[in-house]
Amino acid sequence: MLQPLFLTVVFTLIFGKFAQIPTEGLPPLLFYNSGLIIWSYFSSCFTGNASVFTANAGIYQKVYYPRLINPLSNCISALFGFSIQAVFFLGYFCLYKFIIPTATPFEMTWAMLILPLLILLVASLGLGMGLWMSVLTAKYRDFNQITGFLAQALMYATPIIYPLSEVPEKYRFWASLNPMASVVETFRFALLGKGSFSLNLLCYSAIVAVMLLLSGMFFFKRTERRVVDYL
Amino acid sequence: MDGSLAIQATNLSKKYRLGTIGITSLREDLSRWWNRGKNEITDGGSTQAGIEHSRMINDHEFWALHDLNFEIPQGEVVGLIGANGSGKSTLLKILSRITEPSEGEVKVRGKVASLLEVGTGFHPELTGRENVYVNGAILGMTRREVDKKFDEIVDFAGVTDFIDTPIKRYSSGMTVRLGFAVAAHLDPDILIVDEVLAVGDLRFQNRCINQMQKIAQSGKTVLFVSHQMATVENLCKSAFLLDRGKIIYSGFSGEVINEYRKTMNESFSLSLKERKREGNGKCKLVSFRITNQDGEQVDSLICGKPATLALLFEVHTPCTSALCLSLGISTANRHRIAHLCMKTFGKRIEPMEQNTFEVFLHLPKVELNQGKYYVTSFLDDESGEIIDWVVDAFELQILESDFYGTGMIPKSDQGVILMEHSFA
Repeated sequence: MLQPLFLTVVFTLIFGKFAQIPTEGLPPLLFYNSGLIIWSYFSSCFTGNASVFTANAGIYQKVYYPRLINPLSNCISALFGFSIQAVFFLGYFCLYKFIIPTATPFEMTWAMLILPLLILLVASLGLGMGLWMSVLTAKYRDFNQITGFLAQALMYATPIIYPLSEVPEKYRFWASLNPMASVVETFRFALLGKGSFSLNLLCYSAIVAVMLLLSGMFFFKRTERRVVDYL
Repeated sequence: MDGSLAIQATNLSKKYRLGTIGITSLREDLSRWWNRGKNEITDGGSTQAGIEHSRMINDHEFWALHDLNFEIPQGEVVGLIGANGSGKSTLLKILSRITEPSEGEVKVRGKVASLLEVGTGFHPELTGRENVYVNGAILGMTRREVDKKFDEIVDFAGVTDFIDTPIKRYSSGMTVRLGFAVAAHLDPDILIVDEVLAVGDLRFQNRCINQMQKIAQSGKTVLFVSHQMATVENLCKSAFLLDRGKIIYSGFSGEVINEYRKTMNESFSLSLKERKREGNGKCKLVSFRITNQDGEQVDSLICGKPATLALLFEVHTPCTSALCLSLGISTANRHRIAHLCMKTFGKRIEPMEQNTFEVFLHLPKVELNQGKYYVTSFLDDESGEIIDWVVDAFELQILESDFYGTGMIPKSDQGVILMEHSFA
C-alpha cells in the first residue's frame, strides 16, 4: 500500500531531480503520484490474479464454488488500497494548491465525472490480463517469473514518469497502443488538468479491455474445470 | 433425469496421468516438442507398481474411475465403501464439482455441499467466530444463515469460551470440531461427506453420527464415505462397493458390507497353515473343528447351546517349556469382545514328544448373538516368547436360537452378547 508513495519519492528524486524529465510544468511529486496510484491499482489486479490458481490450490482441491469469485474479490479489495492512496494524493494536491506556490496552475477538470468508468476500465484491463496469466501459470509454472517482469516492462511503457506529449512523434502511435497509456493520461487530465484526453484512444482501451476480459474469463472457466488434477 | 433422482451418473470415467507429463513448465514442453520423435521420453517409467494392469490405459495414464453407472434417489443415505485407492475420493470430487469427469456425465439435482476436509479455508490468525463465517461462506452459506445457526454451531463444537480466540491457539481437536460443526449445520439438498468422522474424540464422533442421522431423517440425500463399517451400516440404507475404479456391488448396506468383507478377506481362502502369522514358528495352528454336545462335528455354533472347539497344532521344533494358548474373539467389525486364556485357570500345555497336539475349548453355553465372529489364536511359552500368533485365524458362524427359551429369538441387530437376565 505504501509502495506507490515510496515509488513517488524515488521517481521524484531520480527522474525529476537528476534526469529532469519534464512533467508538464507540474510539481514532480503530483505528476508521478497521480500516475502511480492508478497504475498500482492496475498492477494489483494484474499480478494479484496472475497466480490465483496456485495460491488457492488448497481450497480448490477440497471445495467447489465459482472460482471467478477469487479474482473478482482481489480486484475489489485492491480498491481499498487505491482509495487510501487517493486520500494521500488529495493531501499533496491541497498542499501544492494552497500552501506551496507552483509555477503552473493546475486544477481538477470535468473529466473527474468519468472517474468511476475509468476505474472500471482499469479493473477490467488488470483482471483480463490477470486471468490470462492465471491460466498460463496454472499450466506452466515458469510463467510466474514472467508476471513481475511483464508488469515492470508495461509500467515503463506507460506514461507515468513521462507525459505522452514528450514521446517523439514517430513513436507516439506505438506508445498509444498500450491500453493503459490513454487511461493514465486521462486520469492525470481529470485530476490535474494536464495530460491529454482522447475519446478515440479511450474507446480503443475499452475495446481491448472487454476483449481481454471476455477471453480471459472464457479460458479461466475452461481451466477451472480440471485444474485441480494438475495443480 | 427422473424427478425422484438426486444423482445420476452415466458412463462416468476419470483418467489420471502418472508421472509429471503436462504439468511442468513451458520450457520442458518446448524441449519435449523439440525432441519429439528423436528419442521418446519415458516419463515415470512403464512399470507402474501398485496399479493393476486392467486399470492402465497406456504407459502413463490409468483409469481412476472406469465406466460408472448409478443412480441415487432423493432422500437416500448412501454409503461408499472400498479399499484405499479404489476411487472413492475421486468420485466424491467429481460429484462435488471440484473436477470434471474425463468421459461420461453426471447429473446432480439440488444444492450440493461437500465436506472433503474439515475446516477448509480456516485462517489461523482469525478468531473462531470469524472463521465460522469464512468457512460457512466457502461451503455455501449466506451470512444470514450463519447468523441464525451461529449459537448452535458453537455449542455443537463445544468451543463457546474460545470463540473470540484466534484459531491458531486452538487445540487440533477444537479446530476439527469447529470445522465439522459448521458443515453439520449446512442446509444443502445433497451432502457429501468424506472420511472425516475419524477425527475428534469418541463423544464427538457419536454426536457427529447423531447429527448425520438427523440430516438423513430430514429427507436430504447424503453420500458418505467411511472405512468404519459399523458406522456405514448404522447410517446408510444402501451402499456402493468400489473396487479398482468400478462399482462391483450395490444394494442394501448390510449386503454390500458383507461383500466388501469377502473381498478384503480373500486371505481366508488360504489354509490356516499358510496364513500370515507372527512368532518363532516352533508350533503352528493348522486346523480347527467344532463339535456339538453330542460329539458330532458341525460347521457352526448355536446360541445358548454347548459346543467344543478343537484346535490342532503342528510341532516343528519340540518345545522345552510349557505352552499357553489364548483366544481372542472379535465381532465382524473387529471389536474384541472376549479374551479366553489358559492362564486364567492355571492350565498349560506340557512339552510333548508328538508331532501334533490338540487343544480343546469347551463352551458350556454360547453366549453370543447370531452372526459372524473371528477368533485370533495366540500361543506363547512360559518365558513369554511368541510361538504362533494368527490374527483372525478363523471365522465362527453362530446361528440363531431361542436363547432365553421364551419363543423370542434375538435378532442379529440386537446386540452382540446374550446374557441371562430377568425383570421384576
